[in-house]
Amino acid sequence: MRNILKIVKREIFSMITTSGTYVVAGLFLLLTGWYFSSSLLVRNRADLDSVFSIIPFLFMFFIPAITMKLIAEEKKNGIMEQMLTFPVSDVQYVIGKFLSAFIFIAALLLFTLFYYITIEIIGEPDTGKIIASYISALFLGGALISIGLFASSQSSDQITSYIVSFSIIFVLYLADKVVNVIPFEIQNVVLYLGTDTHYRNMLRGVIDSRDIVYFISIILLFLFLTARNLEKRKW
Amino acid sequence: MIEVQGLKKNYGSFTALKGIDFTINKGQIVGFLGPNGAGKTTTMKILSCFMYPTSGEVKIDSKNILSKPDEIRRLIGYLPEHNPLYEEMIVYSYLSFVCDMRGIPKSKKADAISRVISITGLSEMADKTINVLSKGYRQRVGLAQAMIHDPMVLILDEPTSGLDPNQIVEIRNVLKEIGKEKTVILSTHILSEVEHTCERAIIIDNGKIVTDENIDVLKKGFSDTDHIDVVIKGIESKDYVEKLFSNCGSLQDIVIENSICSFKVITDDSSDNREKIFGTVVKNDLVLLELHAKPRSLEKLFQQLTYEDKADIK
Ligand SMILES: Nc1ncnc2c1ncn2[C@@H]1O[C@H](COP(=O)(O)OP(=O)(O)OP(=O)(O)O)[C@@H](O)[C@H]1O
Ligand SMILES: [Mg+2]
Repeated sequence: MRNILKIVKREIFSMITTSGTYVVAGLFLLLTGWYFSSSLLVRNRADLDSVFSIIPFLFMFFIPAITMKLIAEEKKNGIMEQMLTFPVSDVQYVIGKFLSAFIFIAALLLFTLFYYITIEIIGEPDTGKIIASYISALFLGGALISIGLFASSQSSDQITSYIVSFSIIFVLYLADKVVNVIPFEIQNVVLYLGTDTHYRNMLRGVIDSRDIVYFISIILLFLFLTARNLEKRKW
Repeated sequence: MIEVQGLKKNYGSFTALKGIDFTINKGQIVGFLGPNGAGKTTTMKILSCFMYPTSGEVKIDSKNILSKPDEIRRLIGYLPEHNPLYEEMIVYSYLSFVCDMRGIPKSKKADAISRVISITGLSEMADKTINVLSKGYRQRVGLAQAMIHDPMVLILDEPTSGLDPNQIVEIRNVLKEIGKEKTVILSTHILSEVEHTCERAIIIDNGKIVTDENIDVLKKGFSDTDHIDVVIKGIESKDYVEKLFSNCGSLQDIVIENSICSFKVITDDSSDNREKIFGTVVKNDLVLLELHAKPRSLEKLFQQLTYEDKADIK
């Protein structure tokens, strides 16, 4: 556990000193801010629906950008060799990377609380629903980070890693949108596999254990695949 | 301390190590020598538990690397080949991070860091960002990192690459000092490196050990005569010299100018034939200007050991 925290600490420090972090954070806040204010001013609605409706889309582009270098870069420049010859297990290393990206995403979402405070002051938002939306966004973020890490461990090239994670995320995002054009027998399966199915379920304000199980399974599955990729170096 | 038996490693279908055996005792400084692609780095990656062998047994401190990699990692300080470092970190924070990863308790951290900083002469660089350091200083950070937990075994892949001659001497002394109590394995392409720092050289070529000897023994072997340089006066034709000295060995590089003749005598059995040559000169009323026995250098032996092998394959 200590090892994981130290890795997270270093990783966060490295994010703070990297300009790319601020670009991603700035764009994220600009875009969510744009959606929030147009919904508030134009449609006069005191909710965060518009913000949460574009988050899957933003995550799809931003999360691969955050995760692409986490492992690929260290593989390429040899730091991974250094890290994994410390008394640190592959799993601790992977979890450390996962948590640091997760904390970054959580921090981004934390900034959007500003929107909530605004509507809390001027209107009467449905706080329960908003809490559910945040939980939903965190789970979605976690799942996509896990996918991104897997892609990052797949090659030592960051661009390849971006493309791989974007593609997986895109396919999972599309699943519930193409459900009408696929054979009836597998519709339910495809629907279940889609990230947006579960994300939207939770946005409605009901936290269903099936959705949580889905997200946790995705997170664990891809963390496992990532660790297995690292394990491959040994043989 | 380190026992390696029948170590083999395949990368896919390519066999990088073809069966390596050696034992290294505590407190020895051993140099891995070999041309590019010999398998030095591969061996070191296995010893440091970064990867596992395809077959063979490796034990460090009587612990098998397959069953107790975590315990072994604690015993080892490792400097990987290209000295990878977190570029954006400050030297001191990086070393502090390594302390954390090594599980050094907070109370001992400051001592551990200042110890390695003084050993490697980094005190002036401690508050600089790593990516502004010169290559030599980066190398020192890599060494400092490897020694920070005072490990029983140090594995250093090309520790002196990129250092200037003064730094090389300094690092050499550091390694010698450490080698009094600790086991040190280093790899290098530079023969004099091994000659000056190590007690023992393991020469690897093509995934196999071609020589494993104490440096003293090796040096003695190298002091054999390689060839003799001769310059004499009073000779006009090549054929004549060749006939005269045919009993001393084969002649090479014969140059005749103004009746001054210089040539090399190569002896088959590396024996010193200077007396014979001198005798022949006197008997034939020639004038001897120069007579030099050139010892075989470490370089030469290294080349012989590692090239002959390739010639066989062709
Ligand atoms: N990851 C890898 N995949 C495939 N082949 C590899 C890999 N790493 C090393 N090799 C091959 O294994 C052989 C031994 O490589 P190694 O790096 O151990 O050599 P070395 O003795 O350290 O050489 P150098 O002096 O150039 O550092 C080389 O032929 C190399 O091409
Ligand atoms: Mg090497």
